[in-house]
Amino acid sequence: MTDLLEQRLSQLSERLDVAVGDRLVTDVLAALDTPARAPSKDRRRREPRPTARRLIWTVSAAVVLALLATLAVPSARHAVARWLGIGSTRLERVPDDTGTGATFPSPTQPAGSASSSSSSSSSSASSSSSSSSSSSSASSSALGLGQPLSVTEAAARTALPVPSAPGLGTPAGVYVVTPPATGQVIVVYAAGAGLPPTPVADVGALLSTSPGVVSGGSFLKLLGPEATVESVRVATASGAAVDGFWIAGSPHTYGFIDADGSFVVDTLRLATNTLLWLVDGVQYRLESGLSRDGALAIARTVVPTR
Amino acid sequence: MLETTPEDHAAVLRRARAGDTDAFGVIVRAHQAAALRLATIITGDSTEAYDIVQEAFIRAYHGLSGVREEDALRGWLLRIVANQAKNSQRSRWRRERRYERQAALRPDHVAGAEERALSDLDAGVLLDTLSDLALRDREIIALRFFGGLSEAEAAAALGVAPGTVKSRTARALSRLRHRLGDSMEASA
Repeated sequence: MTDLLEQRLSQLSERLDVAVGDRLVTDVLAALDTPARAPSKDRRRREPRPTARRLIWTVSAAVVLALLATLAVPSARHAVARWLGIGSTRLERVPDDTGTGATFPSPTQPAGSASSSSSSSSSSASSSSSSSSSSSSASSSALGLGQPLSVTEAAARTALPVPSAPGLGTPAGVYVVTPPATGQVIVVYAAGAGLPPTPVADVGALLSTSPGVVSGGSFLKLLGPEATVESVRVATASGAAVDGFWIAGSPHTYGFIDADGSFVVDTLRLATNTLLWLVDGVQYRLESGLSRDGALAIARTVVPTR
Repeated sequence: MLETTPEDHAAVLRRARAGDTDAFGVIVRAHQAAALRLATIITGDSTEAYDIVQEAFIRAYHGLSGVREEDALRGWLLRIVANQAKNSQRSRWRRERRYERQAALRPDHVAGAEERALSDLDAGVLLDTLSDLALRDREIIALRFFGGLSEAEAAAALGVAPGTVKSRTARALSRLRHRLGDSMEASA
């Protein structure tokens, strides 16, 4: 007879995300195909894998050590934070003595080089001669979001819901950006009308949706050393309550591991207080200068416009 | 293919033993999930688990001649993984083991967070408590519940009697239950 604990263990086993696709197979076979690759206790130290994934795991181990050494998780609720995140998001902290850009160079992007970020607008319009001089356009330019789209256009470019938060007023712009390859939707709200200023002029909040799972890859949230992480319950407009995370404090860099195992730094987010939650396999993210309670109140109003 | 018939399984094993790396790739693909779960629970770190499992499969490839029949392959592979993971734990600094905890959970797609059988919170608590168990207890729980081995398979993998596996599992579960206290019961 199986008791509750045994059931929980079996359920936990099913929920552990070990989806690595063919990456492990590829790595093992590549190792076997390498001449003189006899098993050795020191093999990994002598022959580090020259792949982007190797960098990812090295980085990951270092930052997780720093995160967990400093993250105060006294309650049972916080334990989940120690075991990383929701959907495709993983929460990690950058060590005190290392800068994000210097510590996490992307294989496809020089460290700290926001201008060469792999993030890009899916809009084909990249004209620098745009006649728009609105603050939203200027802000979106600063964020590297490209040209604004209509809700219909944004919806047509991705299967994701285009989120709307009535409590934040009228959106200043809707964008679809990559990565991930399948796109993520970002809705920009202007500062003012109850939205505190943020590090990006004229921008009060970013509300975004992205896939809960990105083709086997994972987002990474690289937090600054002064950031705090709190596990929260997020009430949604449908009346459900879902697990989420409240991240407050110093700015952070957003990045992800793509389906090929490549680590890509995305420096184009607002990078301030952030509320993350997951609904039906879609990750919602609200970045703003709002307090935790303020962000939770807004989250309760968020609905898909499509 | 391992996904089809026992005859195919045996053929794949024979080919791999003969040095066919493509056939070994089929074996890796078939057993990688169980291996990664097992190593994650023993080490408490999915990052390290990946490296451990990779190393274990490489070692396994060079030792395939020791597997007499396909039925024993799964237990044999997972024993290598478990041993690799345990060796890794023993060689670590204690403080590192405490803090290097990392795993990721799949999104739970069951509608309604309140209806979920195992919430993210419960999963986090359970993972956290598991990682505080003694290595010996983690090993048997990992083999049975995360590697998916039956008592008989675990016994064969560990080279002990099935009764020993049964008693070790019971003791490990008892200690886990004691550490969890009321937290799991309350959320059930």
